[in-house]
Amino acid sequence: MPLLNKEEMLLSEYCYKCGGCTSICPVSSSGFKPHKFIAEVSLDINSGNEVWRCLTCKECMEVCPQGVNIPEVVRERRVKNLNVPVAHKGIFQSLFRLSADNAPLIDRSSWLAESAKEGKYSNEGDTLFFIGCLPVWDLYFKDDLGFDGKEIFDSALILFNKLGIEPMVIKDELCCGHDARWAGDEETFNQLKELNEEKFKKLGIKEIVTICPECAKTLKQDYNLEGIEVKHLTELLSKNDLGFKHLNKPMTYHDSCRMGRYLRLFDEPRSVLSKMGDLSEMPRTKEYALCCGVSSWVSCDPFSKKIRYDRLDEAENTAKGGYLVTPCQKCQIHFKCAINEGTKDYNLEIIDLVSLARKMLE
Amino acid sequence: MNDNNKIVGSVLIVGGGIAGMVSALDLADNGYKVYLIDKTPSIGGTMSQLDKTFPTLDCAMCTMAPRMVDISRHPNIELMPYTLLESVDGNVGCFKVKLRKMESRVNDNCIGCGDCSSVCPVEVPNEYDENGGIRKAIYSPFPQAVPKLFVIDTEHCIKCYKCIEASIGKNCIDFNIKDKIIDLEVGTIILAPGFDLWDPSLRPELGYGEYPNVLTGIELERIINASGFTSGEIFRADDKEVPKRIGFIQCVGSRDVKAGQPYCSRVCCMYAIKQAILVKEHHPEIDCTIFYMDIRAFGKGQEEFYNRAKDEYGIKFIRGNPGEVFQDGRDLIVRFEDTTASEVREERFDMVVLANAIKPNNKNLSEILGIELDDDGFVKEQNNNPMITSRPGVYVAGVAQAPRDITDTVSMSSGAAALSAVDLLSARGKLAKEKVFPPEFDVSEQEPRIGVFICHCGTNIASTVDVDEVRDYIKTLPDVIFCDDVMYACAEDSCRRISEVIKEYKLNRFIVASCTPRTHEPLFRETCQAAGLNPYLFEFANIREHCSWVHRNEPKKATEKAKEIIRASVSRARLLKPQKAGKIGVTQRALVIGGGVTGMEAAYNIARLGFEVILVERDNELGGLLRRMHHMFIDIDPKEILAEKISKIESEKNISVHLGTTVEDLSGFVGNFDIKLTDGTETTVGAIVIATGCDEWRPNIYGYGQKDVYTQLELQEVIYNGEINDGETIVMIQCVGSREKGEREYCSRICCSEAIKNALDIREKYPNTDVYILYRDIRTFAKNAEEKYREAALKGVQFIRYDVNIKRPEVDENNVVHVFDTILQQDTEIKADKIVLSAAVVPREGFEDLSKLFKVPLGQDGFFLEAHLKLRPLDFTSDGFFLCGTAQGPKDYIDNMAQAVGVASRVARILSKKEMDTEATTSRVDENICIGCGRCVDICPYNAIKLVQRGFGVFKSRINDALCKGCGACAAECPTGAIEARHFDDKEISVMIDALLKEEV
Repeated sequence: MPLLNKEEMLLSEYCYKCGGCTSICPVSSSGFKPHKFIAEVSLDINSGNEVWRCLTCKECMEVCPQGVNIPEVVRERRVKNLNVPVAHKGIFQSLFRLSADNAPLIDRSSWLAESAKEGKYSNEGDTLFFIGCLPVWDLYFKDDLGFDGKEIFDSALILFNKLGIEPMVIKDELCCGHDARWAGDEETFNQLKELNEEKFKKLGIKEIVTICPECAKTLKQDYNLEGIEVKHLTELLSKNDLGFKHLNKPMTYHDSCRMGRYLRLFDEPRSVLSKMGDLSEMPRTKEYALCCGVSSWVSCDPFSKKIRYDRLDEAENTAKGGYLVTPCQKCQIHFKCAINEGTKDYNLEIIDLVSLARKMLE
Repeated sequence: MNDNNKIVGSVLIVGGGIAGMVSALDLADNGYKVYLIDKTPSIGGTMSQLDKTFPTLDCAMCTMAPRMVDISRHPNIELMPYTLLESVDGNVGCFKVKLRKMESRVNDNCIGCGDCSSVCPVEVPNEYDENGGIRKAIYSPFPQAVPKLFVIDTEHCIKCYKCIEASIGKNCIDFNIKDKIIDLEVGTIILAPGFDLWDPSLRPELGYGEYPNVLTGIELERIINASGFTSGEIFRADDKEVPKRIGFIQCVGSRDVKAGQPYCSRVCCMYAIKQAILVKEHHPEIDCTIFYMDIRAFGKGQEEFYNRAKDEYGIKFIRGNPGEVFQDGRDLIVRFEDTTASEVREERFDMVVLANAIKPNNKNLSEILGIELDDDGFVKEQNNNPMITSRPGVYVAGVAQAPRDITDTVSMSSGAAALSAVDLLSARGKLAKEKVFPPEFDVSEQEPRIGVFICHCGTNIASTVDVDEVRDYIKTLPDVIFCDDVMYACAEDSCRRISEVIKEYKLNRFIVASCTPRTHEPLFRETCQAAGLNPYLFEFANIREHCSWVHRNEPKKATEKAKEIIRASVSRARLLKPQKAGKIGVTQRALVIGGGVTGMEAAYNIARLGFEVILVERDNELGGLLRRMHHMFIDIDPKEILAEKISKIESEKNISVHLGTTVEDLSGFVGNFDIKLTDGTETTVGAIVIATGCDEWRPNIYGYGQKDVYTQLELQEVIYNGEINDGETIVMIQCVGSREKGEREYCSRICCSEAIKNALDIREKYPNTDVYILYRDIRTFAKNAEEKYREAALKGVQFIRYDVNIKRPEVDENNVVHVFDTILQQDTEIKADKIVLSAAVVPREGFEDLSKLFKVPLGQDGFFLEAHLKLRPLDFTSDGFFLCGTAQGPKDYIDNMAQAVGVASRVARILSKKEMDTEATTSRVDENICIGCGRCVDICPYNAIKLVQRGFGVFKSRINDALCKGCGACAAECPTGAIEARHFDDKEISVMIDALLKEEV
């Protein structure tokens, strides 16, 4: 059990500069050394743009003897250095900023109507299904990567329904602010946080369920939602036996950073997947899982790509001809993007956990 | 008298490790009855599992075993193994305790023969070997176990009753034995339960429990140990191959807030270095690498040991805490950042050893006794005295209070014994017995009948010397009536056999051929004495240190040499004559030199033990170095301490203080030293304590002498006087004059904590100051010191690491500090308003004179040299001389208090006796031959010889038997052969030489 409370865990001053973090940091070869970075922070030296190399994957914290919350220190530094090396021409940054002005770009109502094919949702109730970015990514990645947010949404609804829930869905959902927060855009994040907190309060809900680990992490750990419980859908699935078909293919599971190291949901997804078939583990797994290589649309560079290929190689070696299952739709996008570049043919299919669960329902 | 006032002259000691053993022996020797309980079947604790001890590489068991046997034979110690403390009632003076003797199903008829164990079909992993080897369900944990009583592990016993069949007629095994509750009354209680170790599989990234060749430190210790389950052969658990590369990872669970142990475990750096050296001694070709955060080689001789590891043994040290260990094929890959080179690397190893944290083991005892524990679960000490618990009459010794090494544990254990003895002073001797030996049989008219034991010493001797061949040869020598070989001659059952064979074969000389007389001769002499044989009819043949250890690679020649050594001993044994020690009265008064806090505390406790004390202080007031301090680590007010100590001294009428005084002259011997002080006082004392303290070095480097450059001690004054302006930049430099080869190689031990404390004081008083601490390794090992380090960092003190092998910091004439920051890999300049140097702790002026006057040695570091670094830190080798505090080496207030109180117990061992034995093997002068030349007078190191006038111009040499130590220097020096050393006379020596040179005798 950690001896430090959450506030104290932030403190970079506790650092021994032992280098444990740097030894396992996936981007330390890029020049970003967490222990050195922390030393610079405590001496108030500007570490420049290297602060944007960090994936905020939190693997460093798993080995830090002092519990220094390196990702949070990185985030704070980013607030002071908004020289963001954006990917995808900054479109996602623009989108969340628009969202913060309470002027979402996407018309969700038509997207919702089109998406819910088999699944049923409601306009009221105790449980809010917080959809997240799916409609946005549909716009952007459908053609290139074959990303299908609508299908994921429908799959999630079907799973909800199987669990006996017709979740509430709202048409004026705003961005949770995860990416704004980790990109150091505190102003945007705070605006979104306020808007959302007020909205949830008005709705009178008791529970928010998401299928996105980043939304779940942000709402649960970075919001003040008294009286409202935040969960990832996997948590509900793991507690119920929905009856799955048997998958006759190998499969391995990729712990996304938010799902695993932040929310500590290691066993729940595994218990769901184990009901479908034989789950093989990659060498780097659970607390020590390798990040997909991208964080908040800011770090798509050669180092990031190398990480993605490494992870894909690892997955292929573990589950050749089968599935690499991720709980996070963003990880899915990043992996698919890497495969799409065509530098190598992977005998592996990337699928998100919700879609697979839907597929395997009897 | 009602129970509230009742004082019982006995002490319960919980835990039979080295801490409990030391307390027990001290108390028992001082006239108290001791009940020593241990939850395992034997005393010995963790130390008995160790191979060698740092930094002297003494064999742990060899230094310990004689004390274990001493305990088993002591008339005032009742040994209760396999026993737990159940409940405690009452108060100091008279506690009513309930003990549970666990059902062992073996009764006191057990003679330790082991026949039961050899037939037992059940094999259980042996806890003593950290589950590496196996034991049976009926077992004794190790060969030298004390007592040598077997127990049945009822959890694993399958009740096949084969053991009963094997022991028919001995009536020693009884399956009807149940747990027994024992009620006792004791005056005080000493807790010495030792410690647990943290489970390193809780840091799964290091692979413990997953990969077979990832071990813990104590597991490797059992593998290296020649008496362990591999007989000292180092190999990998899975493929039994000798590793070629071993990696040691430090701070596994220690200094780790996430793991729940924020503190430093204090011993791991040193034991890892020791193990790496031992590995290198066995296999010089094995590469050893130690991964560390800060090397904490703070104790006496430890920095030197660390340097030897690097320079002589080629052990690699990498500053970096590995984040991951994983297996690739047969290799273990350690991934780490070398923080000094600033590069992430992977290295392959065949074996990885984790220094897992020490954890307290106090919960149960604290509940039974109602004593307070600290946040980490260690016993909370009271009044800045590490031995005092929150319950009067209950004391603590060893790691139960905080992690510490054997040296510091031993000091503290003597301290706990002293405090117990003070509480029970009025009952001293009431329950104690004297050791009684049977009358000696007369051997004067007998032909020699010699018995010989040849010891295997586990594999220490037997793996080189062919013991069977030697035994068969020795049997053929004339007058050797009995000869046998034995696994450990010093084990309790072997000693019992010596007694038996002396009686059975009517032996009148006995020889043990084994390790060394230095540690074991007293034990075997006493064994002979207990059998009715004069102890000087015992002869020691050293076939380990003079033979098997030094000729490890030549077993054939070593075997021949062993025969010759024993043959010489047999020749001498024929000539041995009984010797008789005299008795001499003891002056029950002590001299304490040094009126600092340590000397005062020592004097106070000696006085409380009922003895007069002469306290001599060179300065004109008491207090020593403390007078210059304003705030002490950890948060102690020195003024308050000083006032308290001085009032304690003044309240004790047994203490007479001599200020502005030194010792002018000393003669005499233990029990009766004649001293002359510079104030004219002449008196006699039985024992002398050196508590002369230390000093702060006046640096000649880093700009000392320039304006605004201070030492830490001077800084205290600066802070106290408010001479800091808020907003200043203050730079502290660590290791100034310490850890410098060729000058002061030792670590000054207190400076890291001292700098951190001062830095915190500054930041608190002047929140806008910038404080930098430039360090090599942060050595905050003491209780709560690591927490202070963390607090300092939290409160904005900046720590910058430098490495003397890369670049030394510099201070220029403008007080700009230039330092290469190894973490940032860059040169940094800091313009300092004040520079503070953590100057070395150095011996005080006058140590050399005192050393010469008292004939007590100084170590290479210039501090006084104790008798044995591990087990006798408070004694000198010369009887009657003791030392404590910083005179022995740098240490903080708490450690000084442990020694100051502890030394009282050591002194009391001598003063509590009305009379004592003198040396029996003294030299003798034949006045008919003596020409009175006086050469013997000059050479005698003990001032035991004087020339006396026998007539006009006729002088003869006279030896004072009470002073003579029998060293024989005079006999060697005497030009006429008038002096003969008893027990080493010319004839005895010449027959040995003859026997060594001749083929046959």
